[in-house]
Amino acid sequence: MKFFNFKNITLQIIAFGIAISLITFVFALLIFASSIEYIKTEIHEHNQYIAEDAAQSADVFFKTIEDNLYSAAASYEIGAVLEKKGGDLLPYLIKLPSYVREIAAVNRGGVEIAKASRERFISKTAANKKEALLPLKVLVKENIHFGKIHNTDFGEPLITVTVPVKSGARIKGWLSEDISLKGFWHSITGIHIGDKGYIFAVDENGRVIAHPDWSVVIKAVNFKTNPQVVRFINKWEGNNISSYKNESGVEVIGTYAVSKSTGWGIIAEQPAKEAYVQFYNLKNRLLALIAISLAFAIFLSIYFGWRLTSPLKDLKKKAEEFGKGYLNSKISINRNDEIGDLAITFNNMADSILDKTNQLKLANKNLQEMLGCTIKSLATVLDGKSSWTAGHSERVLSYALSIASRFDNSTDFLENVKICSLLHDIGKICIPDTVLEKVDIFTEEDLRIIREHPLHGARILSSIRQFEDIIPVIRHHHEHYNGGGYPDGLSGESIPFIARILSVADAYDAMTTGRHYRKARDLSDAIEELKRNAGIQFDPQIVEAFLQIILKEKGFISAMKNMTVTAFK
Amino acid sequence: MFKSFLIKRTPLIIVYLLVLATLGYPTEELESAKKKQYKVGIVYMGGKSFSQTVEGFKTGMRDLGYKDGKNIVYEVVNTSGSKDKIAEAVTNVIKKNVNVIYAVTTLVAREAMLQTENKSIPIVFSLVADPVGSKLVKSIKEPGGNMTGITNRAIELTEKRLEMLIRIAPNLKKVMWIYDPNADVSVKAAEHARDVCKEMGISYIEKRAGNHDELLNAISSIKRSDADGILHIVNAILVANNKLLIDKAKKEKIPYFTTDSEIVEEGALANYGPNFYDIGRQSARLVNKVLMGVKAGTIPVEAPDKYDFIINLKTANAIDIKIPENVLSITTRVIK
Repeated sequence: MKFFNFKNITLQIIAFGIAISLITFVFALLIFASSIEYIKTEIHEHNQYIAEDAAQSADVFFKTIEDNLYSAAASYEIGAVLEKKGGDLLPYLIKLPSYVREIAAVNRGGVEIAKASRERFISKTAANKKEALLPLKVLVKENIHFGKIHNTDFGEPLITVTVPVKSGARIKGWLSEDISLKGFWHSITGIHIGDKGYIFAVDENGRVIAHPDWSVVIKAVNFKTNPQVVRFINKWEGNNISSYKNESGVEVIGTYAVSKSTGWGIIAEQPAKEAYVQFYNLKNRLLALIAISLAFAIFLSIYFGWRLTSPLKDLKKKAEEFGKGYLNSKISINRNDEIGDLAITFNNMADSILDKTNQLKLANKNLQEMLGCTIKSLATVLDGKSSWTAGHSERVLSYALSIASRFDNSTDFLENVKICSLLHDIGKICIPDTVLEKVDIFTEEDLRIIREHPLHGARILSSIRQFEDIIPVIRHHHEHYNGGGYPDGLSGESIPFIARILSVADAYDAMTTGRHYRKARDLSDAIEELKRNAGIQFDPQIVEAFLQIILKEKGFISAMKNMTVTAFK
Repeated sequence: MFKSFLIKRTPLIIVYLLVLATLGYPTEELESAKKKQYKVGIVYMGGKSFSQTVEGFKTGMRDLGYKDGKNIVYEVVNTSGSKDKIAEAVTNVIKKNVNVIYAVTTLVAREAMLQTENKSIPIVFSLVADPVGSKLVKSIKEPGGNMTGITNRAIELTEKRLEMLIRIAPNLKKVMWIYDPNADVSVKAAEHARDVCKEMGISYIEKRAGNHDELLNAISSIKRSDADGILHIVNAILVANNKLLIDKAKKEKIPYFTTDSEIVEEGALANYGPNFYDIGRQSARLVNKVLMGVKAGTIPVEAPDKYDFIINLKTANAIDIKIPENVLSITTRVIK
């Protein structure tokens, strides 16, 4: 196939269409590619913002707790309980925000001297227990201490926050509150980024302290393998956005922010698929657009290609017909463009050629007629030269045509046969009438003169270039099949075919018409004579054909005898 | 034929294809996800208290961004106080293909659990006194199955109620309660109350009432000399006939410390416990989590976020009790 050579106009147009649309899409893709980063940055900044916002609200939450604790530590009630080494903290607790679940006053030695709970009854004996876990040294140093997050029986996250109760610069004791983080964590882990994005929090060791899936918190899962947690622990600085597979094997984009007051990490994760949905939408739309446009390009190319090439094909077909001679071929294309012009021009050209051809045909016909008449005139002149030979050429013509049409029916051949028949004895013009009209028996000299007539004929006609094929026939129409004829003694197939036909026709006519020196033979004699001389004087093939004609067509001979000169139209 | 059709119609075909391409392409996939509508089935037994829980729940959902009729639809069935209709109500709700069932009280939660045994419909309950004891969940921390919710800690809070009663009546020496020996929760609550009394050094008197008649006898037999205070422990039959006890306590001038604000409004002296509205509101965030795809069985059962302390001053006056000033100052609400 020549598809890749683009020899087909339709293919060229299709290639052009596709090339144009591909170039367009390369540009579109370039623009898209340059906007990818922008879109991604936007998404990342949004997620980072959410993480930082959550971290900030953690800071605000703990700042409030801190402030509340400081003001509680400075309150009269707590001071009084520590002074009196005992007292009722419940009324004070109930007035505090509901996330403060328990409150305890601890003396300088670390012994709880009063405690109240919203849910439990705390007896005095239970309250007077040494709080072994309280790290006094750390407390003195830190001024405020956030204990480890621990879960109650309810899985409720609690954090114990302790502040010193001071009298001037002197530490009187400590105030300790159990803060429920449940509500706060709900507000943090309830934040959704998109539909599936979420936030979780880890402590400085990577232990999850808040997660939308609370079972992760209950089981105290360590997220140390999470890349964002690792970054947080290592205090990674700079762009902290990254894309990775999370614990559930989902590809997420993650970011982290640090809650400064607690040192916890707030990590925001969103499935990449969802985060980049806009981006994917855009990509899909672009791909769809490319597909549609390519389909359009191909469709339109095929359409225009077809529109362009189908009249051309038509044109080509008509031109071929025209070339074959169907000069009446016309193109029926009705268009206003160049192809329409071409069709009109073609039709005009065809008209003009047809016109010229008709003129030529007419001139040719005239010429032919003239030639025919000339030859006829010559033959008449020739036949008239001797009273014995009147009508000879006409009859020979008739016999020769009958024989010739048995072998070859083509116009040119028969035309040649016709001309040869009429002109075969033209050379006799050069034979003196005294010889031709001689009543006595021919002398050797007479015969020599008469036998020169084929040579004379050939010479006379030699100046007519168009008679090239005829001259040998004229020259050899008296040759014998066995080589015994004149003037050159040719034999068999080397004698021109028409000459062999003429030989039979001529001899037959000579035998069946009377001459001044002998009478006409009868039909059976002539047939016998022909049969006898077949293979000697005549080509047996031609004799057989001629005999068939004679036998087949009854009355043929008699018709021939009475024939008048009507050979030429 | 086809060719000539193509020639004549080409511009039309192109326009048609362009329109198809423009209209047909799905542009806003995310939008449709956001517009997802959830269906929540709510089953409760009616009455003012439970209606408040449902109201609180809906408010909580609104606060979380659910718009009624837009991204959330509630299929609410109120059995109008009838226990017998609960099964039917739950069946109806399940038929409506809800995403989650919000079950108010233990009875509804248990029925919902039974009917969803072979289904994947998650259940969030509230106002359940003892979810582990009632065999709704395996444990508080990890409920397992398809269920989570909020317990009102009715048993555990008994000690706090007694403590508060003592604050109202500092001279209290002996306390009385009525429990239902046929109900596990009630028996458990009674056990807890005994332990607390021992710890606090207070003597007690128990009355058992396993049915309506026994309860009427128990209530009518109460005398001022029996006890210094009446403590309400979990007891479904008593709740249904509370008015009798309220009237009797008033008549005998015994302080009656109860569980729910409803009972205080009817005439009991005081209560300490979660209020129905807040419980409903708190449970919204559990339902939200479940709707967001968290498995209910992995969400720990929650305790109430806050407790109310309500005193009915009218009753206090009627039974000649002077509420100490420091106690009045820590109440959430005072009924005058």
